Amino acid sequence: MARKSSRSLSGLLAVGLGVWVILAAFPFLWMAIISVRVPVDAFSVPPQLLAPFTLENYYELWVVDQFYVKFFNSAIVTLGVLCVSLSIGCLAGYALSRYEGNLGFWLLMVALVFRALPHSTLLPGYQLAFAELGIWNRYETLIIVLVAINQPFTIWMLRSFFANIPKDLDEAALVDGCTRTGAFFRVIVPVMWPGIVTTGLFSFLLAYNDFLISSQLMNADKQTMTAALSAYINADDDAYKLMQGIAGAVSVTIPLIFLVLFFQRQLVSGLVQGAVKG
Amino acid sequence: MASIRFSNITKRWGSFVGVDNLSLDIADREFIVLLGPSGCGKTTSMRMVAGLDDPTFGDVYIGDQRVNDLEPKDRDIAMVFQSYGLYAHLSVYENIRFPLKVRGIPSTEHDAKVRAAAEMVELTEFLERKPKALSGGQRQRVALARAIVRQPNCFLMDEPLSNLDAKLRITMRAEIKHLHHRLNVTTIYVTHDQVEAMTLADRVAVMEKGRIRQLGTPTDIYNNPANLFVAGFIGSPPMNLIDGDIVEGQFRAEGVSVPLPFQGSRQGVVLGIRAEDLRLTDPAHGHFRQAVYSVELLGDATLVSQRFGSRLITARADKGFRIEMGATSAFEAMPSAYYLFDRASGDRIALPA
Amino acid sequence: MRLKTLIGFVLPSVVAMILLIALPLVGVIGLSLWNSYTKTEMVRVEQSTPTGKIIRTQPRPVLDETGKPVKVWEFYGLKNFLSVLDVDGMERAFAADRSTNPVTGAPQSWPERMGGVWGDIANLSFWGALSFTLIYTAITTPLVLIFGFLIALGVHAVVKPLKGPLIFASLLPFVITPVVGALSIKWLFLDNAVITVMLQSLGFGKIYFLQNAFTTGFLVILYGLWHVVPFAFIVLYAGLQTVPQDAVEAAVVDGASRWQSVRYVIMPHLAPLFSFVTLIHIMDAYRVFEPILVFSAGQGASSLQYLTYYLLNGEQNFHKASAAALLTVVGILLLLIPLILRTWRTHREGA
Repeated sequence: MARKSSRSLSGLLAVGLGVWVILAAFPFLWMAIISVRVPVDAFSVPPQLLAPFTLENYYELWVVDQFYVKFFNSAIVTLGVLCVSLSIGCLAGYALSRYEGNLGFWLLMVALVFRALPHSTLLPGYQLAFAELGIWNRYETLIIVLVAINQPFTIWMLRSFFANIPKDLDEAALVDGCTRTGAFFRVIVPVMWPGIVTTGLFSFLLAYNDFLISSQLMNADKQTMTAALSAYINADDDAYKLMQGIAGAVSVTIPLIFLVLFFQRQLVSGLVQGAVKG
Repeated sequence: MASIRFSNITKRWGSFVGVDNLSLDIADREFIVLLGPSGCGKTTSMRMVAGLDDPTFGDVYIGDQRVNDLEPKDRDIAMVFQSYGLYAHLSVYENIRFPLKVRGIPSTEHDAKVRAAAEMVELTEFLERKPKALSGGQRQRVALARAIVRQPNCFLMDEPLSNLDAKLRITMRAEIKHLHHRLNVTTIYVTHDQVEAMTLADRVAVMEKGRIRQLGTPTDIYNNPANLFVAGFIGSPPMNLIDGDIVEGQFRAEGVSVPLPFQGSRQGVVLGIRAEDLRLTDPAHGHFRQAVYSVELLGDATLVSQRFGSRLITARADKGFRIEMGATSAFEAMPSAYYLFDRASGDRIALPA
Repeated sequence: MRLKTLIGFVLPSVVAMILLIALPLVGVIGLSLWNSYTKTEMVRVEQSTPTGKIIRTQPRPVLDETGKPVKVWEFYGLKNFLSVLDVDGMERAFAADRSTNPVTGAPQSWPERMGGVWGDIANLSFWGALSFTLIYTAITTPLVLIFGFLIALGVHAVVKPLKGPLIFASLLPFVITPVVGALSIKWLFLDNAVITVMLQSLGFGKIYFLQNAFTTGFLVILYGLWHVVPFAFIVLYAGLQTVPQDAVEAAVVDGASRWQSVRYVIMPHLAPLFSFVTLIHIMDAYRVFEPILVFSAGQGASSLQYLTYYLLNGEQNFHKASAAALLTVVGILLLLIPLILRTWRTHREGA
């Protein structure tokens, strides 16, 4: 807009945005700052801006408490969910973007309802079934459960990406002599990567951030980092445990910060995609 | 090489009828144009030949074979898409080669065929480029080359020129005509542009609302439109159409009285006269007398319009002709240039000889 | 695309959803209608004690041939639902004598009596969860839209080099693991933590944020805003990029003030995005879980998702938990069915 902002308005703007940035970032910053302090300094009265630096909390958490096991659990589960979810989601999302009949519509609507369900509604069912089948506390179980409950979101998002790839492309391949599957792999797969990256980011977040399912289906030895934090949630009275929890929370956050740093544009475009098509 | 036959084809989506009981025989090596406004079912009809849409009822034949249940790849056709459908991740060379590769044609033959096709559409120097480094016309040529790289039963072209600018469209039109002459393969060409239809087609099928309204040679549909729709759709400027009645050998409409070369009366008719058949005449005895509503100079002609009610009547005058807007003018035409239609059914009324 | 092809492509995804969403839901329906317990029998056991042998009767699980305890299933009908809805508790709330204040003994007016009924009902866990969900939605939805829109306008107006860092800072609370986000806020409000201490030194007195229902509810709402405002901001900010520039310029030429062009050009353009954000946020309000767990807010501020979790883990009653889960599903359906029907109508017209 080629209009001159009045001075008071731009001042207001600067103050408003400044306040927002502080509000948005402060919990992270403070958490990171106190995670490298001894308990007395972390919760001192009055609060201190500067205090002696220590990695004690991280040492206790990662080495003594073997948090690295949880890290590997997170890595296995998140990667597993990412691969399975995107593979089967791609096929479904592609087909749904190309099929014009009513069945496709109703599949998407049922998926919408599934997407809206709180995950806890499924837990009693899982408890019954998994105990009977004896597949409790297994990576495969957690992965496939997370894949399934993230499928509705994944196919919605991928469908809207595929809908943006011109139909002419795969139809040209069909006429040129491909089967549907051949057309998908030869001409759609090579051009779908931006959509896969964006959807993959959200699938990553859903799997990595999951607390409820992982903490319910897995025993302590196989829990993800996120679920493992449950041990520290109510540790307010045990100062050392509390400090380890803080170090754990910061540890869980660091990969996310890199994620946002590298994939900011894709995250934004993914949110927009959902909004415009939803 | 093959003939193509639509046998009582209907295509519905829910309650919407896209193509309505269409039957059409296309001869081997014929160039047929499906012409009509958007939504008339022309593209859908063509896509049913390709196998990209399935008819709700009816059968499609290529040669003597019923192809309804065949996959597109098994129909041995080639298609040029409106937005070309080029594979963005492949070079021009690989784009043209794609049909050979996926059909398992021995790879020793690929290079020669690709180069022959590229040469035919003058793409040889762009073979290594990616489609996004090409202009619109060049992309169009890649699509054409991909279609002609093997010898299919028939070519299907879906508005191939609609994304090009006006000048390029004329060049490409000529090239398509030339290619068809050279390859002599049955071609179905879909367009909403009547000039493309007139210039390219052996026969034109004019479609409206899922039905063929007239099928004939370009000359035929221009000179003998079978109904009001075709009359109004073909020709630029469109045919002048005036609602009125015939009273004892006179066509009467508000402010107009035109003597017809026969006796008799009839209610609810439409009189049609093409602009080039109307000439300006002495205001004392023309049939259409009104003030001039507008004058448009085209360069090769001058269009003069009068206004009757909500309708404009346009005459195509000589390029040197000049008249002031608002001046009194009069149009008349030879009785042989009159077309009469039944207003209710839209059908042509034959003039008694 | 043909139906057969569609089915082939969607099969893996659909099978996963049927096995792990649809079937568990059917299981939940079954569980909600039944009750089960481990069958026990009374046995007489002899025990040697220093004073001699005594014989006692005590319960023991009945084992089947394979040595597993026998589970007894009993059809319960709607009893689990009545128990979740706490019909007895509601009757008590309505039946209680409220003509006088139970503490002071002073006579109460009608509004006070109604307030008493409401207070008692809100103390029942299901109704408490439902009412907090409604309060949460009612408070956060407008605030999310307003703050999100203001930030979007602000970032839109700011010079280009600042946009990236601003978006970066805003994305963090959105992508953060909810447990971690809730914990990071909780650690600001512990009794000896930075904000509590600072508020005290500013003269607000010592506030025990995590000790009472009202302040924990406040923290849940605060966390909700912090987590969701960035989402609204990003969506609306992206929407702002698509506002047709000529419409804004036309408004300027027509003499609109800055506020008028926002009100009459930009906001109508963003209307679908406002409703999108609202819809997503309302759907998510049912699912608020981590902050309630982290702030131990279950008593005063709960959600339907937390209620199911609590019945499962706290009461260990997965029949009752199933009933609560189904009631949640019904709520979701009530919310979504009008939307789905509307989409169906436009879908049919579009086809």
